[in-house]
Amino acid sequence: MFILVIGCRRTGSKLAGILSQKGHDIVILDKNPEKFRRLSLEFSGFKIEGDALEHDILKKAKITDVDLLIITTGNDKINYFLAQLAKTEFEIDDIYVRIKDPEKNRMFKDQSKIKVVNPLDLLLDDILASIDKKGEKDAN
Amino acid sequence: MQINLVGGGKLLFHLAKKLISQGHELVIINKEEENSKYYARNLNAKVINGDATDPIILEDADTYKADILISLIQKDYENLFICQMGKIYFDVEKTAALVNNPDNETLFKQLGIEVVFNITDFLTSLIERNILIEDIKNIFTLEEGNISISQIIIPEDAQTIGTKIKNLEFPQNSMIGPILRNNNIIIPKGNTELKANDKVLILSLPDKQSEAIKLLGGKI
Repeated sequence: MFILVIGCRRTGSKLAGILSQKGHDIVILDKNPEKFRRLSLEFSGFKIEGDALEHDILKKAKITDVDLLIITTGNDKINYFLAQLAKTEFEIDDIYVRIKDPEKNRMFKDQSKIKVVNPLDLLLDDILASIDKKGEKDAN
Repeated sequence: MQINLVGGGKLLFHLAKKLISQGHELVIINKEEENSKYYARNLNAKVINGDATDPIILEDADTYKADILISLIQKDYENLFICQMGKIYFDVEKTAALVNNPDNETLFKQLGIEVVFNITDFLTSLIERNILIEDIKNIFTLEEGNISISQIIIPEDAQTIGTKIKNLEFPQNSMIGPILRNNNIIIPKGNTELKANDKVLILSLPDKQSEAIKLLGGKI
């Protein structure tokens, strides 16, 4: 698959490394080239330096050809904007967006094609699930 | 009408003043504490200091009562976010946003923002009409830009001076309209000759406009 990752922070760089190692074609985009240092040695894709808010940069990163788009900049509002832009303007069918603040989840309600990943919700689910398990054990 | 206005700067201040004088009820949301204080002291409006991309701030600003939410920030992604939040969280019926990057205009419109101020394109067209083209004025366009009407002042050195209109090789899909000469209006006929400093109206399809202007001696 051809995958574009926007934002080379912790999540983006890790994902790009693993997906690259699995044999996918990856392009990673970040405004700050320093951030590319986070990429693992296994990463064999392309790095593009530029502001994803500029349509020309997205086109340069071949956004129109991607099978999957992953948006992980550190700003929820930028992530929202990019997801809408990718869906509406560039007609991408498969978009993953990381959102930090669960308050903002509702912004994405009823949106097909966009999958919202919220680390806090995942963490809470995880902790609650393990507490439930413990509870069951104790009850036994 | 209750108008919720997000943003800052002189533009917002004077816009708010005008809207208030027209009798609207205004709520201003501004991030900077100093600016907010200034607005609160000098405007007859409710002022909320905070980040309008936070639903709690929008709630404090009575956004659920707003007839229109206008976002005039320098960052397009914030304007989009605020307008969409107004719609999704507070059922605001009408939203308006500034678009700083003209590439984003389509997106804003497709996502249902009712009014989009494309300031870059607006200024560009103003500059083109009034500054870049000497002696030529684009007066207006009809049928969504499919017919343009422009006006040119025939320069002193134009080769067309003294030529009868019937002998001008005017491009297809364009025609000469009334001529203003010494404050008289002349409706041109085939035998009318052009003189220096005539103000000539040109009606044309947009792609023929520059050809027609050039033929009359206008510089583009």
